[in-house]
Amino acid sequence: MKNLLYFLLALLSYQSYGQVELSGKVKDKSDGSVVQQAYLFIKPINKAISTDEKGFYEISLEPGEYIINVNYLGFQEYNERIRIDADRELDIYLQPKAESLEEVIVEKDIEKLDIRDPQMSVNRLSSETIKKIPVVLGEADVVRSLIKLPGITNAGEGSSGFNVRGGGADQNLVLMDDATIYNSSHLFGLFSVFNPNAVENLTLYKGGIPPRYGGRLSSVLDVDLKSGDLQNHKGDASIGVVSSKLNVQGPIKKGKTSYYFGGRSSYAHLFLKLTDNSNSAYFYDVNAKLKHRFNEDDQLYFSSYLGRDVFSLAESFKNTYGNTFASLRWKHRFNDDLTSDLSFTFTDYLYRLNLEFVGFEFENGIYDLDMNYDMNHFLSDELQLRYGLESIYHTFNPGYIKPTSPTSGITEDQLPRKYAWDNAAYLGISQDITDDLKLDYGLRFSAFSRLGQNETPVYENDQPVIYNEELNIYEEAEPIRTFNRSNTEIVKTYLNFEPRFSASYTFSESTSIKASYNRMVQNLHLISNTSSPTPLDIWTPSGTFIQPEKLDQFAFGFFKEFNDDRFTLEIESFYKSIDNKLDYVDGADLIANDDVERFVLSGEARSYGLEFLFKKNEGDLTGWVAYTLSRSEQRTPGRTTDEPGIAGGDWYLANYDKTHDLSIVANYDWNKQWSFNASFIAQTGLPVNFPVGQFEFQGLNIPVFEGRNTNRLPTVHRLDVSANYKPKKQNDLWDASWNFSIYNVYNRMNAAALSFEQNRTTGRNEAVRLSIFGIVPAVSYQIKF
Amino acid sequence: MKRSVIALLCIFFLYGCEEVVFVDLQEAEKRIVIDASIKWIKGTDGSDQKIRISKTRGFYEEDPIPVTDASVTITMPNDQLITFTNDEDQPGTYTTNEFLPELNETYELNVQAEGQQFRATETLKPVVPIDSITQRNDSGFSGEEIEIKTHYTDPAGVENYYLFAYRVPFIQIPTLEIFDDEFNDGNPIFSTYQEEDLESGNVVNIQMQGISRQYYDYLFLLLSQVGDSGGPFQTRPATVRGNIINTDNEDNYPFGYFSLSEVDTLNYLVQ
Repeated sequence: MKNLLYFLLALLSYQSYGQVELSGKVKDKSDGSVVQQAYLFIKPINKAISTDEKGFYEISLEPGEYIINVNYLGFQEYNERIRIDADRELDIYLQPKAESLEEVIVEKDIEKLDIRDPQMSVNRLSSETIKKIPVVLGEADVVRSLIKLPGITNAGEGSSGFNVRGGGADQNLVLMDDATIYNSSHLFGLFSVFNPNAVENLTLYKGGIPPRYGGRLSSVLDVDLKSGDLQNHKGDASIGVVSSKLNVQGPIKKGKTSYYFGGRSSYAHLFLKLTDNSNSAYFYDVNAKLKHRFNEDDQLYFSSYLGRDVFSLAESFKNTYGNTFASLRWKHRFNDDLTSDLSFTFTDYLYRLNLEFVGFEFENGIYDLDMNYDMNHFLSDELQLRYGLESIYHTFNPGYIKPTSPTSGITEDQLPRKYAWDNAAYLGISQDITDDLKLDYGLRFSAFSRLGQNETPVYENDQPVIYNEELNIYEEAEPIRTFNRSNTEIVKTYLNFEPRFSASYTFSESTSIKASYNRMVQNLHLISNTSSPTPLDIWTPSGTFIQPEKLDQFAFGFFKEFNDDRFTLEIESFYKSIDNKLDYVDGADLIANDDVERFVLSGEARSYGLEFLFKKNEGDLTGWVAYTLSRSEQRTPGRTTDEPGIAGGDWYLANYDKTHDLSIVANYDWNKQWSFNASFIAQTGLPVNFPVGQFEFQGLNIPVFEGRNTNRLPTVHRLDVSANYKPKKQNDLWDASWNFSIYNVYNRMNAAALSFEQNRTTGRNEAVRLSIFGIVPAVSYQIKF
Repeated sequence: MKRSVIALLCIFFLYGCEEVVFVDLQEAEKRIVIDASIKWIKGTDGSDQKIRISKTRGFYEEDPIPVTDASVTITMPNDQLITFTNDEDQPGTYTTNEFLPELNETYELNVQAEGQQFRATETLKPVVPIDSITQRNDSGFSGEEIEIKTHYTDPAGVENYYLFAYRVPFIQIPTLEIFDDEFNDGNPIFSTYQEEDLESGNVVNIQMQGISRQYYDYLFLLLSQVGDSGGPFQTRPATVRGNIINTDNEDNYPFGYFSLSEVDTLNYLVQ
């Protein structure tokens, strides 16, 4: 059997006789870093070849004399005449051009569809594209741009997070420089926590998720931040309607050490102050990164982030929340084929509410210590490995309350903290079976241990949720006793194998099909009874009463390039099913709740859909049309046949289900000064409940609801436009540009919610539509130096 | 609080926001509604009580549908049966002047209406007195709203649940607030009432009643979805089942609640 395998492998690596190999790497002369996807033209035979992600290239040639030409954006053109008689290694060093066009390079690099790569269900965006897409109030935004791609939505204007392929907003692993971000939103979802100018690039995996990622069911959003330039000081700044940004970078020691600093802050609250209004709503965030190159083989990075949102209402109410992280990363190259990446990260998510008028301050949050060791092993052109270990220690603070004034009636209290230890080992294999058939496959093994805590509850018959048969409702069980357990003691461990597999088969130079399967396991649960998470929602770890949620996803795709990849078409279909999907029982009060298991039942969820993405990649007019047809639903049957479960145990639509979701994004470069961008969206309204009647109770009209998510909000559609203007006359110190945008051009009042309520003055019932934005013009001014 | 957040967002962006629209609604099968809140106001003998029985109706229908031919009784702790009779002037309202309130005792409600038998049991919950009322005039979003605080002292060592009702003549619906004592057991504490149109000279009627844990949970669900259909900030609405059951056919359940509370009440003249 083994011999047969060797024979097959030998057959596959068989090469035509009488040829010689030219191979090597293409590198940036300024810092020795490798250049990916650079095209080498071999003259006079006019063969072309591109470098891989390690900057490596390889080509078979007849012995003879050739000219190697490399023309790569941002670098001076390279031309060299060589003579080749035998296998030869040639490393090519490119000289950077004086003015860097960094972002453009990134864009050309990352967004292009690679029809041969087995990785499917992936979306990449560069900071340049993000900055071009018009968004509300002229603020470029990562998540607002992502939701214009197929399979990615959110719960509407003013909602936090995003939903991938019918998954909840808590099912996305959001990484910023590999640190977990627990809340990706500013201003309750109007903007995301990523400063678009500080983003190097971002990748969103919707399926076929590589084994190195785990811990969430639906997707991985991996955002890399910029490192400082090792040669020159430079920066950019912008002033917009909502926020101002400043980003600076440069060498501390040329060629060795660099810094990057990015900061942004909103300032609308300053205008409120001017009008003598003591209310306030603002956010800020700061990114700082240091990079040090010891030598060719060792690089050290320190990356940190702090973001905060503050809302305050006169003297009575102040709400603060945000993420913080600091990470230290050491990249080491053992040799050309083996590199490692070791990182230590501290992350913190904090929510604080100060209710002055009641006289207390409430705080909850989550803190993580994370160690990650990742190895990238290049065995041959056909076989590469990626393996590593990850260990995270979680501390959860479900709530701490303290009085803020001597007259306050509040007693200081700390709800028992929870602890968990999350370990994983993974191996991913990329293998080219033939030139046309490529595989990525691997396994993640996760071991999640819930640790001891104070006041561990014990329930009668181990049932934290009781079904009241007489009244037909679910009720929380009162613990019959509680006991303390050390947080070094393991209470419960969940072991899970998570296989991952993807394959691509290329029919011709321009057509391929891909298929993938992945299993994901999620041990941190965000239970929210609103459509989109609110900042005070609390993450709860798996434990004695809460089992991990498990997902299986199958995806299949068809990919085609037209006209020398000026156009690309991607069609994907997916099916997902989730086991142990947690669902809250009706009437759950999830705020300041220490034992979430008393409010949730476990059920199942499924989603399926079709995604189309047609892109025009080149020319003055670029852009895409994205359309998704999908359905996402869940059900929670009773635990026994006597119980009705949630919503009668029937399937019901997920809160964020959208049947149709269409986005059209177009960018037109008119001339060197002007470029224009337009984006149009149309999508099915979110599932909601309309009342099916009313009754009077204690002087109030009470609307009657039946079932869950049986109605829908009206269809959402909107057109946004923007124009970028770069004045011809620029001064010597910086390049300036203007961005003019109009959000919701035809002033469509899209419903963010419908409220069915009693008019306070007339006492009559009415339906009130809440729209967050009508037409919003905005302008911003940027400089680059 | 969610409302404040939306208000803040609206002010922050100076755009939006709310508009009354007509929505075409379905109507579910009608159900019996029993609004049985027995209130023993401190300083009275609590003998006068009333219970209202009606039917559900369409969300936009204005006229109530009273149920006038029901038989309504409450069984006292001493097994004495008290009959409520339909008030000729107020169809659907059933009254008695024989009720005997006893704190922490359990009562049983029986209603026979439209050929169905309904039953509920509940305990009469005591309440501490209102200690004092304070007022400030620099509250709310504008910083110029009037805010009223009702002070009371929570009894230590027992779980207590409270329902506050604030009524002013120029607003058609009462403002209901519920509290538990999880974080302030045994402490002097207060309930807050804010109303932007409140002016000096207005009279605010304040009612404070002790309620059971189960009634608190019911009101929590009920109040959280009054005015909701499930926007991004909203709690998902659901069917709210009370403590009254249909003993003939449990699927034909009624809406409403049978509660018994001791109540302290006063009228406050806004300064």
